[in-house]
Amino acid sequence: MNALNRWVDRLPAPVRPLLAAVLSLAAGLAVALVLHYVLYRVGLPSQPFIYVSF
Amino acid sequence: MNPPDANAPRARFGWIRPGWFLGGLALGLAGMAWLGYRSSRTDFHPDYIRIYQAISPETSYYPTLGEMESIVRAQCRPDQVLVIVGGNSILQGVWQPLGEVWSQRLQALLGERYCVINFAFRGSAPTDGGAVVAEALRKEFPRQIYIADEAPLTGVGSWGPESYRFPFWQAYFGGQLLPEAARDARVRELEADPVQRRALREIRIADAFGAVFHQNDWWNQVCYRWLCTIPSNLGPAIPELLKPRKDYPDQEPDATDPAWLARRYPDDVLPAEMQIERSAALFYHSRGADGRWRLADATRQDLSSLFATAFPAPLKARTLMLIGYDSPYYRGRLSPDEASRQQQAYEDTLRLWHEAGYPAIAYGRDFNENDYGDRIHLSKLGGAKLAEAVAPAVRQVAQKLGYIP
Repeated sequence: MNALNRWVDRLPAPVRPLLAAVLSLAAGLAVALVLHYVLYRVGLPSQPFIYVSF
Repeated sequence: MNPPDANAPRARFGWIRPGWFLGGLALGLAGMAWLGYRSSRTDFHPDYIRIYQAISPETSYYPTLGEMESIVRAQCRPDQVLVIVGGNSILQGVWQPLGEVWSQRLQALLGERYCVINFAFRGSAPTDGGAVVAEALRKEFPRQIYIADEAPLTGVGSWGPESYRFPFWQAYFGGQLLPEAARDARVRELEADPVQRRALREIRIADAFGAVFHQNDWWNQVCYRWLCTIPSNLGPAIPELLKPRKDYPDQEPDATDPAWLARRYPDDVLPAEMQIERSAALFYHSRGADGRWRLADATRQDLSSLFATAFPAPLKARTLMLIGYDSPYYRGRLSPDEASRQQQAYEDTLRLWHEAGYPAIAYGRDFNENDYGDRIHLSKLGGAKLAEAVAPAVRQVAQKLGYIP
């Protein structure tokens, strides 16, 4: 994170807020993707169903 | 203008802009919900024939209600009579390879005016899977017939084993099922039990999220088409685990293949199979004064009560129940007394289904050993005979209900 902050600090001043906004938006999108996936996984039964024919 | 102070404290969230981040989060969730909704309305099983291992709970793949409804919409037209096959592994077509599944034969026999879709799951009850899909589609496909099977003298509840309740809960909490007092009463029974109540609450919450975000619809599509992240016995570890489920074909063996014939009726399970064979009527019948087998009143009442509430009243007349005889390899080993008692069990079962308002037929009494792959499952030969027995019954139901003039 610090390395990213330093990299952002080195960018020209007008680019910085734009880049931060784009990265923030992308981070929000990524978290949404992960949350959606987590919702799917937590809904699946933890024990697999084993079929036995009688 | 003052130059930026390099030593000034950084904003609370570093380079993250909370407004943009929350906007991205909201946009992302909305986008995923839209993709999920699209998935629930998309048939991504273009060559669907039946549920098989790679798309079943056996491999931790839980087809959603929307996924199954989409299969029906893609394959059937509303002007056709929709015939949905539910029930268990027998009707799924275990031992019948693709191309020779009994439901495919049924489709061929019934012709273009009917559309047969097989949603039977292994170990499933008559009121699971296909029953839920048919009921949920009753308005889109009002001319529909549902086919399920069950063993003789076996009760049928409003829903079956826990592993297959997922479409039921989706439809129930999603308001897609008919109002039915018996089902509601059973749900209230679950809610009265502290352990069950907690499980039910979790299901209700998951289904509430699912109704908005369609997470199972989307990730099922991802798993089936592109990349699966669910461990299963198909591929418990990477890289097999990641293979899309479409790359695992339906490889149901052919019971008539010489490689399997020798293992069809193994000697080491004969005592256990015969015990099951005898048990169909063992506990419920006794000889009457006239020498005939009589079903115990308590059993009769229990079964009548269960059959009466298994399906909502408006759906009974279109629900065709099949009661299958086991392989003659085992039936032929019953004593005459046991055989007559078993026959009485089949007759009593059919009568009880009829009295409860369902069309019902028995099949398999005249089948031979080659028609079976084991005690209960039919080979492709038996499957073809089953289709020939069921097709006239389906036509009869269709005519009685006015689907076909």
